[in-house]
Amino acid sequence: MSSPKLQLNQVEGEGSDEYIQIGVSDPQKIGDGMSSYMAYKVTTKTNVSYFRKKHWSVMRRFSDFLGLHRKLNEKHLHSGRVIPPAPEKSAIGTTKIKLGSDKNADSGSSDFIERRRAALERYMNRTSAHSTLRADPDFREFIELDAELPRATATSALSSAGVLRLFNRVGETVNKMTFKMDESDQWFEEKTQQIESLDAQLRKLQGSMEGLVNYRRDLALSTAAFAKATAVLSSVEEHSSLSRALHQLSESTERTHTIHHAQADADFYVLSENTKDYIHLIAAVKDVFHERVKTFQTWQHSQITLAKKREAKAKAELAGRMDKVQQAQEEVSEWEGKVERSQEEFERISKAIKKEMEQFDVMRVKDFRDMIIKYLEDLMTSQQQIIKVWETFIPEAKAIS
Amino acid sequence: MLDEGSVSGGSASSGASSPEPEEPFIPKFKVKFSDNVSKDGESVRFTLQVSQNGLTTNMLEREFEDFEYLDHCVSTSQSSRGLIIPPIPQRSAIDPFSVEVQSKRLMGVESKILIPDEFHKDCQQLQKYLELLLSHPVLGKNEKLHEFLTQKNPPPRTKVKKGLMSKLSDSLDARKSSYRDSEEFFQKERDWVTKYQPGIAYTSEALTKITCAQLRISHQLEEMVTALKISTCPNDLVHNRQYNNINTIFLDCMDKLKVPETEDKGQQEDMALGSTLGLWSRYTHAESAMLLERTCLMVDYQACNRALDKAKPNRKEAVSTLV
Repeated sequence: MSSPKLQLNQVEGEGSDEYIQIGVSDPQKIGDGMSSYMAYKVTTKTNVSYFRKKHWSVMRRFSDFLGLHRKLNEKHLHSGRVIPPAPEKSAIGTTKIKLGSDKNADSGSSDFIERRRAALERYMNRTSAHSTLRADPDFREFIELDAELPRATATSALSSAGVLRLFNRVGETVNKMTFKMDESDQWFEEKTQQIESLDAQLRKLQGSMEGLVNYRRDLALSTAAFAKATAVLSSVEEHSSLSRALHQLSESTERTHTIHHAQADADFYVLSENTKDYIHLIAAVKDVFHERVKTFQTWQHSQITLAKKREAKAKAELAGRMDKVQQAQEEVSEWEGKVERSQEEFERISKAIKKEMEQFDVMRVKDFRDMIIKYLEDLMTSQQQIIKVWETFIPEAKAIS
Repeated sequence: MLDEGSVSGGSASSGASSPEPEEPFIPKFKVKFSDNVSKDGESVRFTLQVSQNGLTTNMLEREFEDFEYLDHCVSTSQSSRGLIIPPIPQRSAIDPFSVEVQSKRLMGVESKILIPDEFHKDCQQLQKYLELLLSHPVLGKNEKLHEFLTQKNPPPRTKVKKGLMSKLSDSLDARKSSYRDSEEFFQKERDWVTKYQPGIAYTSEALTKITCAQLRISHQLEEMVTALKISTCPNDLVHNRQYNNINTIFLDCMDKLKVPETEDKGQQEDMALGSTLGLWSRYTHAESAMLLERTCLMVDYQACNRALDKAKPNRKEAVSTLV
């Protein structure tokens, strides 16, 4: 099974030759039973100046990754940044690993571990490719600190913080559905539509890719079955050169089975998983857009409140209540300030999102291109290998007397 | 694998040894299937071109049921006792319902792929069947076969249905297959067939599964191509143009990839290895049927002999007292 190569990440847009490359490897099960967890080695190679060393490793557990994502989200989402999403929690997969012993690491759980490891690696590299996120102190601590990080207990699904987050998320979803923003900026109107259609396209594409993976795995299995059947036939066959040829056929088919299996893995890790990442990234993009909508809401709300306060002041002036006028005047100035600030906030986040989306689009196309190139290279290699297998078989077949 | 020469040699060499080598048997007719296959609702008509000694050619139309009737006549005729009858190819599904059932069986329950009619495969298999019949030294002289190949209208067919009684007797016969044979040659042959027949049947099935898997992959690639086609974006920005370019290239690639998976490769693999495996799987089955027939006769013969031996002393006494 070929492991996906470590991705090299160029710092975007700055034209310098700084690079940072993060690898996630050596998944280990620490502990036993329900309190056990998976730990991964995070290796960083970089020449970025603000890191202390050029090449080092730390151990991190899965909940650390989730904790990192949550912190980055809290700090940067409202500045209009697209935060790469972390791999999802999976109750079934994790429990299987927790309860399973080291000895019977069956293919199902090792597949799960490999899938998760690859996802974590892609997550780390996407996050580090973002110049602002890379400089974030929490991120730096995550990859640099040579000790165990404080347990991000709030990432557990059953904690009180988790329940609170769930409530918040429900509220946000309702908000997203009910509030229709009065969009004045054409750019955002078009972009939102583009994002929606991109989402739909990627989902369809990913679905067909997953189908391809499954069918290619099927092909690998049926090729293996054929190899076995031919081996049995070869042992029963009495004609000696036919028997020999059948035996060779069995071995050749066995080799093609391995090739098909490897190709199925390439289909999966290179194509399907990457496309799935982008579907999640688009969800993050939608989150950022929604942040902007929220700031707009705040701005509108403060404008409405300002109007009310002005009204109240005018009423107080008419009624000649001097004391109330004073208070109303204070409130009016307070809300005038709030309106100004929220408008600034809104314009700031709009500008930030535009810049962010530019980078996002460039990165998306580059990722897509890299993905296709790697996939086609893998496909070519496996086709060439298959050709070689059958070329070596032909003389055997011709030798049947 | 026994080739045609030794089939006729084998049936002649049991017991009797002919001093002079047998003359190679020349088939009386030559048959070629034309591509003209017409499908009319539920019946499929094949067009055959029959030539005799390279001279006269007859264009005949036959349906699959005619072939089935021919098979029935050949296998039940007296001259065919003790021969390995070439197996008739399996009937492929024609009407929509059975096509769906067969497609689901081969492709998996959730797939929506329907396997289309593959008449060239049927033609090739039926042609092979007729060639095997014609080149058999005994079966090639069969009257019904000649009628089949000369008359313009197909010989009238009677309904061939296996009744309950014949099914019962078949199952009783099958139990006799565990009796050891009196002759070493036949016992060895029977042992070999018992091992070989399931082996080759399994291999044939495994190959069908591979072909189906490849067919599924190509359909999936088609879906992916459709998904890629709708993924193009407007050509306004530089990176969008790049994206469209990459998309188009990838799309072309996948498109070209799926074509060989279905048509050429699938066909050739299927027709070459697949049909050979299928044929010899059925052939060995026919051989085991022939050997089973012999075994049943042998069992009956032995039973009769035992009965005779038991009866002999009684009768001898009775006869001696009479005389």
